[in-house]
Amino acid sequence: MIELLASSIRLATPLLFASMGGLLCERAGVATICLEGVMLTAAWTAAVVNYYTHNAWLAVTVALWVGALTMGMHAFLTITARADQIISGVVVNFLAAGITPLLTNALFGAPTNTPSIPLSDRFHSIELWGLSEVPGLGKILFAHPPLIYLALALPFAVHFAVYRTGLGLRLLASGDGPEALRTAGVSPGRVRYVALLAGGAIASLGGTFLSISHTSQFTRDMTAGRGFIALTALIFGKWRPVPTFFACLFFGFADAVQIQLQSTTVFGIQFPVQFIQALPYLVTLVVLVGFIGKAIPPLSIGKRLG
Amino acid sequence: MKGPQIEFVHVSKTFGAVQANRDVSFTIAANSLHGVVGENGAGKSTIMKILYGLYTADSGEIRIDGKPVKLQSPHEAIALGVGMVHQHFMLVPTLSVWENIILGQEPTRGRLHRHTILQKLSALQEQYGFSLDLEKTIEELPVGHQQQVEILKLLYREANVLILDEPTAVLTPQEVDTLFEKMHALWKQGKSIVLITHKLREILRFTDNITVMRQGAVVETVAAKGLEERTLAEKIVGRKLATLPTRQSHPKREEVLQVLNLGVAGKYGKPALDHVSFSIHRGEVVGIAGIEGNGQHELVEVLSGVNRSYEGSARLLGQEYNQVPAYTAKQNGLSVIPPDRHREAVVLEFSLAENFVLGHHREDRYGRNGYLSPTKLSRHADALMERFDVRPRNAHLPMSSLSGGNQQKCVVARELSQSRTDFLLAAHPTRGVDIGAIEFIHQQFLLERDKGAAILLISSELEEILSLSDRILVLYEGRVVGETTPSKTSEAQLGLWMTGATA
Repeated sequence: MIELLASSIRLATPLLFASMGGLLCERAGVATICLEGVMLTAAWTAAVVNYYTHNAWLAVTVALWVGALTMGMHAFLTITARADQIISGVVVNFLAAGITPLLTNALFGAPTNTPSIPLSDRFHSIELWGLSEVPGLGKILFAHPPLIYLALALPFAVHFAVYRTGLGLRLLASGDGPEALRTAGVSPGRVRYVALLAGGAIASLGGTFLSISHTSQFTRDMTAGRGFIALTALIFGKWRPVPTFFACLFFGFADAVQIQLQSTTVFGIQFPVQFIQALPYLVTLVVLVGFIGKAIPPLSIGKRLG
Repeated sequence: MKGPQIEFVHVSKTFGAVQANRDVSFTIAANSLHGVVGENGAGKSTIMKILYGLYTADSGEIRIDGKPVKLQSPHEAIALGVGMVHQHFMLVPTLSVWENIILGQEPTRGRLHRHTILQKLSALQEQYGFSLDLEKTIEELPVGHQQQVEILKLLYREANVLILDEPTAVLTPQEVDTLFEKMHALWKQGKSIVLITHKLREILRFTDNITVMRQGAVVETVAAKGLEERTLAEKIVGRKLATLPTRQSHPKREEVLQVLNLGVAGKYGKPALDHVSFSIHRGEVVGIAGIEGNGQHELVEVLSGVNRSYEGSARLLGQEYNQVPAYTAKQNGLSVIPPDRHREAVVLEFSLAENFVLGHHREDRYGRNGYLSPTKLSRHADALMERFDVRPRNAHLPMSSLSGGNQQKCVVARELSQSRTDFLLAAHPTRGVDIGAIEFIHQQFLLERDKGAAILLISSELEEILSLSDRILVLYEGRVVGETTPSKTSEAQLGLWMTGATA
């Protein structure tokens, strides 16, 4: 059970980064189905930088910029070039899915994965203040590599930034009333650029975590739809940071259960792996239809600025 | 602090082929109550938006207190003390009153000190005699209060010139009174108020000087004192206005529409319509007065055949509405002018010819077996444009290229050109329409009435209701709270009913 919960948190981490990054973008009024692509380019960059430089933190930093730039492309297409937000998102996703194996192939001679990063160069678990010795909770919460702690703290930081600061106010206005913001003398386009670059940087951490913390290499399409699950979590959380945090934990938990079920028999029956892997999505569907109530997206999302 | 003197000197502005302002020159005196009137498209909003920095003039200049100024953005206008309340409010519906007021002026470093901000805003409210709940979100406020938020926004930015663009379009008569009282108080404190409107009675009542605009140019600037409404209207349109024909009284004939105990569920468990009963006879115009949001929308949905899940009964020529599809009802004598032109009446991207057949596109006269004949469509469109005086006369233009008044004429043309119109449901038929077109649309209604149509007129313009209706019903919170006739009532009386005061 303890291992299950600890694993839930690990699996929730990439979702947390992606959904918090997505939250900034979407609250600013830009639909971001390209979280997937942002995570992919970041995951690739982090794996490659960590492999060559043997420095995990440097890898995080470089990947942060690459993630921001990937989202920056989405910003350019949707804000400056006034492209449709969904189409631009699809473009970014395809580009990321294509360019990462291409570059892997160019550098390492095979498109499927980058070489494994030696253990000594990777992130290690930090046992915060010896708290990991606390029975039960200790191993669940306090025996993780650094990015996980960051992920767990992030939603609360985002909550503060969005609801308690002047910049947050502009962000909300950009999403719910860009015209009002413009007449108040602030350019919603600029607010959206800033939000997307910041959101891209945050979402990049999700990809980075996957390639250099959760595993030790980049593999092709390794995000496996997590960008979309993160979006679902965002809808579950009605675009609010703290509820979204719990939605991510829930999805992490569902994923952990799924993995565990793969190796167990239920009532003497071994369910097909494919069926078990589909379970979290079935749960998602049921929850989405049955329990959430009306989630109202930011009012101007999907619309071009006038 | 005195509002500055503002001069427009030979200002011109074109948008593509349209000359929005032509050589506009006039002066708004310091600390004055100034009105700008004109039809839609006369250029009054454009000239004010140039002053507010939203547009830049092609030529000419603006002088504030004698000094020429370059206004490139609202920011610069605000810095010079010029503020504008737009016709469509520029508020973020999901944010609170205080957040909306400080938006754009808030500190961008560190956290927002809510308490300090609230204190400052309360002091501001007190100074200018406002009493809004600062912590409510805009969505929760009635329209009149939302407008006050807009005004507070300007006062927070220390504006000395307040430009109000069609401020009363969305207000009840009582709210209009409140607004003008507040504006008058601000004027006494030294501010200048500029009122842009097409409501002549208001401008005559409230302002001292009136600048009349037509087709982008200033016709003249006149003193309001002693000016007759009719004279002003004729200055605006540039010709003599026809008077609506007085009607001979018609005896009651066949009942066309019968509504009995009509109920529609609303939000929060409160009914949107609650046991509404009335009927309309041939040759009769019934007006529905009420503040928007008191059940008009739901009534329109039922009587246009869109909402089929209602309680009670609504019958058109004996036929229950939810027994026939809306399409069939339209074939059987129902004509509808929907309240929201752009959302419900026209497709802006479609050509005029296509818009003229919307909702009737399956009729054989436009083509057979699902095929729409382009020739038949054009011919039909040309005939309608001629008859209803739609300009420009080009059936292939997209609807979006027409002015609001001409778009509405197209809707009226489509609805009144069917094989028969037994019941005309007209919701806000002249909203955003200029004086000339209003006159025309009203005439068309009366023609239909005289031909024997029953007409239900829903409008927030009491003047319109009073001048066209034979009977008036007042809707308040989904119930009919009063019934009267134009000769027995007044705007003030209706206004009271509309706010729920019982007769």
